[in-house]
Amino acid sequence: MIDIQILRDNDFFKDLPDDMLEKIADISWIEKFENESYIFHQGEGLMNLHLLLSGKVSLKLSVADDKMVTLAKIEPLGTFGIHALMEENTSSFTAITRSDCEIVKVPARKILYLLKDDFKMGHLLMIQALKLLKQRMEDHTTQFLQVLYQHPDVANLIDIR
Amino acid sequence: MLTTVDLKRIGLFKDSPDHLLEIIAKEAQISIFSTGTKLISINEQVQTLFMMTMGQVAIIKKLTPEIDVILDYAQSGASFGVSSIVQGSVATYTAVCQEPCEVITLSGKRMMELFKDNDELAYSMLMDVSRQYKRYMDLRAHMLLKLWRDS
Repeated sequence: MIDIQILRDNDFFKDLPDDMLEKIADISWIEKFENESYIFHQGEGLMNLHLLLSGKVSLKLSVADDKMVTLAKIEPLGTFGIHALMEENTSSFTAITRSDCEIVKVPARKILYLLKDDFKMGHLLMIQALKLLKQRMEDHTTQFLQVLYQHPDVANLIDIR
Repeated sequence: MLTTVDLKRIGLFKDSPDHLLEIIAKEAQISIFSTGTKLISINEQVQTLFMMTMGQVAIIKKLTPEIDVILDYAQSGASFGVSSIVQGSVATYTAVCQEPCEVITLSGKRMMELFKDNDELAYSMLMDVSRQYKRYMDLRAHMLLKLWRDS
């Protein structure tokens, strides 16, 4: 169980009324991670939604056996692991701490039960989920275009023009 | 008038319950657009959810003022403009018909009005759209991976 104020301070949950926040606070807990710890791995089924209380987390993609690139950096009060709410909940990235961290974990199975039992809560929370996923997808698209711009074949094309 | 069977052919709604699809079907329309029609323009408000039944639409972003990148092709069963069901959503790409297209359309504004009185509809549809974004994100990750490996 966690303090309801933690959820009030978080963008993902802040629009929910206190009675809904209390239900979520009841099922959540805080875990501590040391610097350079793995929170979850690419390809793993996600079981929890994560809220970063303190510290820094990177979301990384494996491009080779020994190389990872950063897709996103999560700052305090940020949310990640939203995919845990979907049936197809395989993570497409690895989450690694960049400092000592405190992270709130909200179990997906339990929160989905709450959302299906109270569609109003489901409505309010899924609006936030959609906004966050949309932003992350746009960030990934921007990264893709930046890498594409630097590709030798594209650089040649730009030079010709 | 569209039916739940028509909507179940769309990937976004293939697992949605029939009683909710009946509500959506009443609001949906079918339209035909000619080649070259711009259905969504970058930086403009997204007002309509588009669902393809026939034809092909290119999803385009600019790499430079002179070079366009086609991020994806939307074909039968695919949907785009899904963020129209969230207030204030602005388009981050342009969508253009590559050939004559038959498209099911839904007004985002009308869906948001229905959501006010039907939380189950809202939850179900927002979850369906979130799953779609998850698929897009996986596709982008795959594209990034391929590009990094090729570079």
